[in-house]
Amino acid sequence: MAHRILVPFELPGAEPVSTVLVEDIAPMEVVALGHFNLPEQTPPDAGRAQFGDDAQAELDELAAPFREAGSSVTTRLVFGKNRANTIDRVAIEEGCDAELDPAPTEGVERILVPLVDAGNLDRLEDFVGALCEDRTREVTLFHVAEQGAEGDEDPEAVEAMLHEAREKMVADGFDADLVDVSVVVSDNHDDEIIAKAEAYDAVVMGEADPGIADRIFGTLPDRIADRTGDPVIVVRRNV
Amino acid sequence: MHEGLERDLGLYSAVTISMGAMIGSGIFVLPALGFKKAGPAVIVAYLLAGVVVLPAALSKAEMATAMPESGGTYLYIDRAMGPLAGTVAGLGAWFSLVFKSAFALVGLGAYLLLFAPVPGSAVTAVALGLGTLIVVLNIVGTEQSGQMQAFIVTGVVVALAGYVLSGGATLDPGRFQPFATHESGGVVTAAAFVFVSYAGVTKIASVAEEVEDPGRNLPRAMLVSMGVMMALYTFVVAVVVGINDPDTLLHGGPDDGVSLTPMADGADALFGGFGVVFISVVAVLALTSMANAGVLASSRFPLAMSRDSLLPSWLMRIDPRFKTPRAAILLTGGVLLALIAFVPVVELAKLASAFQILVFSIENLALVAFRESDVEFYQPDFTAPGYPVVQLVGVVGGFALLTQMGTVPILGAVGITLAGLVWYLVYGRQRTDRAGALNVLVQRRRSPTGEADRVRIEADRE
Repeated sequence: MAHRILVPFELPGAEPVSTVLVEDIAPMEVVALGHFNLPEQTPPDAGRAQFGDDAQAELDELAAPFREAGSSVTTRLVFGKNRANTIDRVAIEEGCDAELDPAPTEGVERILVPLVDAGNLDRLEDFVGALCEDRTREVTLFHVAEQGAEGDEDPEAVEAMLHEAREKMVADGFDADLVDVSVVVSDNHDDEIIAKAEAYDAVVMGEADPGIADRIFGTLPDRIADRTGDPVIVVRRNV
Repeated sequence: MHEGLERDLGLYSAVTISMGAMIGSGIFVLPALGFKKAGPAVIVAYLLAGVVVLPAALSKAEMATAMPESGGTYLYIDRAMGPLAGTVAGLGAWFSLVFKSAFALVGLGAYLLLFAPVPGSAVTAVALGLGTLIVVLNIVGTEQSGQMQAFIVTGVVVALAGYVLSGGATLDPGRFQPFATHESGGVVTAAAFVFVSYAGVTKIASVAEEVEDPGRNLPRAMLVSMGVMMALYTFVVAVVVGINDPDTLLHGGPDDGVSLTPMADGADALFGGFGVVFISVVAVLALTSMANAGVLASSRFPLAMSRDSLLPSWLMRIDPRFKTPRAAILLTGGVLLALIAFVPVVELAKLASAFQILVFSIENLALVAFRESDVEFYQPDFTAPGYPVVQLVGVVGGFALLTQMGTVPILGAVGITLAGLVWYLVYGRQRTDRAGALNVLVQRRRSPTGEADRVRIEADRE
């Protein structure tokens, strides 16, 4: 089954998606979501009445490269105040199995794959594959063995899990030299992933349950994207 | 559902929005004014006012689920009874809300003076300054403050409950005797004055388009918030009456007038001696939030009326830079500041109540018009219980309160009706060919076959 990926744009004035990424996801179906942020003073229908046509034109222009690259493209335009909720809702309505947080990129040499457990891998693999191109030389399966109030994770068990995942990827056709694993022992899961991501060009990860920190600081993928300026693909949990 | 609109307010958010819109001048400023009219029976007046607001809240909830678009009160009355009634109601609701915000700002100034070293004559200046700030904030635009609002509302409710518990232990039961100092008419008059304390309940209908599962959540949010606030007001006012010397309430305000800070007056003995500062800080928070919400909500009336060609089109223009309806906010803010600067807002607080009562009565009638005309687009998810008795009680009760308010408010209500009429005749009439559901009803009566002429009704703008 073809993957269906949501690409959100913050209108007006969104950056076009880099050609590299457009080509990477060309085989997938693309849902281009334009979110036009309004302050709470402005009723959404009033915003749509005044800015609707311009915003739709801008969104069509942003979506055009995907069409040219061969993707089947759906556009959705939303006027509102809560970007995160809108992305979530539209992803469900459109049956998307992943979201791309786009960022400017020249090419993807190193891909970071934070992995919670080996069972997750199936859903991530295709998207990692999509980002892999000639110049890609490293895919790192990464896990933070968390030490904290809820008990300590055993780093050796974690490493074994990552190796198992790596072997599966190699069996599925990934180049054995390409894929490596990395474990960090820490009590600060999110910061470790963000720090690690700095050295990479793109991140592919599964969606996690939002915790308190996510509500306050934004979700982990958003924070990674903000901090590193890398494109992030988030694979949704229930599809 | 409207394509492209977000529905992200759950029941709890809806309840806090509704309560946040109610908590404000009604409880922090008005108890002394009501006390002057009714004596200790002002406690009953708060309950009575709630009972009279309830029908309008139910009616509005039903209409909101049939027309979950922004515009609220104005929109429902316009679609039910045509653009003339829409103009009158839109102006009345708008003016009432602006007035209420002005009143909240003056009260806010009075509470601020209790803990800031500023001379008492500065109330107006402080209110003007805060008003200007709020208008500027609204023009620049603010992000969704729903969570902030929920925090403030929860905090204020907890503080009020603390006030009740703490004050309930120290109050002097003798202060409730005699209970009704002005006969039964006094209670009705006081109820008419404090009516505005509940007006916020309908605020939730104006954000109906953003509420999840509106058929279920809208009416529940209204009923829950009404119930909580009626109980809270009753207890708080009982404590205000019970711990204060009547003389303080009646003459503690600026220029020997009624106190504008009744909740802080007797609070020095509460909360371990920090009562006055504590209550004042809570009051300032609640009143700021109310004034801000008032400016935000009231500027939607000119916006919605402008989109329906009842006001000039420049009023609906959204500023391309700030993405806010700048002209509608400036007009609203200008009137707000002018009211504070040039009008004795405290004496005229009853005008806000009078307009509100008028609008609520028309709102009940609007529901009757929708139900009886059975127009096609009217498909509410929620059906108000007790129709039509509840609506009739609302209308009769509303007009009964109105007659008890004295000459000025009645003249005000008549005045705003005439102003709406004149504006419609000289401006709106030639620009719109909409007809309300009521028109369908009348047409059907006229033609015995039941075949009404095709009347254009805008169910939806798309």
